[in-house]
Amino acid sequence: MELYAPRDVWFQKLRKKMMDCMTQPPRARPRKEQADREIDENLKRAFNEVASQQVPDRFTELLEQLRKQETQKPSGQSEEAASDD
Amino acid sequence: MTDVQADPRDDLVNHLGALRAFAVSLTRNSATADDLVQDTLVKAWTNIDKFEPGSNMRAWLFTILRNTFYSLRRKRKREVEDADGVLSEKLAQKPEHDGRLHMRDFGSAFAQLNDEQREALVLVGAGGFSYEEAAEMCGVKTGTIKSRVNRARARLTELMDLDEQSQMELTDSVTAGIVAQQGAA
Repeated sequence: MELYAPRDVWFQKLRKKMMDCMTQPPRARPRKEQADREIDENLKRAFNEVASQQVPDRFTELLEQLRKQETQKPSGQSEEAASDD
Repeated sequence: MTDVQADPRDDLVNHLGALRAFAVSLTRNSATADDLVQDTLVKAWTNIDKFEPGSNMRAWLFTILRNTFYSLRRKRKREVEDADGVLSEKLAQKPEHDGRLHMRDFGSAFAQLNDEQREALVLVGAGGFSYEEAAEMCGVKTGTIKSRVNRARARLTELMDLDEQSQMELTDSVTAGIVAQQGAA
């Protein structure tokens, strides 16, 4: 059935990959791959280190402020209303 | 009426950390990075109608951030860039006692990439974006992103001696450099 055709193709590719891995001596694995992996690991570590830091208050405050401005001055309302306060 | 649907702006807060990390990777300066994040948030907030609900918000925000970064950089071109460039060159020419940079020098090696290479590498290598997504975000072809990433990796490998072969070569060239210096002195 043609429904299985793509899966077969996929399976054949996977099988070929596995066979290649098994038949190739481990030393033949390109060093480049190893180097690239190390680079990505370093990058991810550095990236996640900053990403997981406590976010400075200025950003949450900014978002609150933007939200507040909006509720105080809904679109369509004149400048007068905003300058009331 | 819009209250029924979730406001995408409520989601902004969930991307602050990633935005900061991306900004730091581009600017390599946390103060500049935070200013960049601030600009990005204001732009995102005021242009939220341009955000396609259900699409990747992080990609959208990163795009705003990098566009802001590049337009700022165009404005005050030289000063910062050159200072960094000079420093990077110095770092590049000052090897460790055994003639090579180590993994802990990842930062200084990273600093020697050009902005476009650094950006591509961060998006693909750390940000988890596909080449296609990164290409769309940067407004270039997928092949361009691939070649930037490849060149960035090759350069980092070279600088950090991640493969033994170049380690030998670099050590040799350093030795040659020292010999040349002694000859000149």
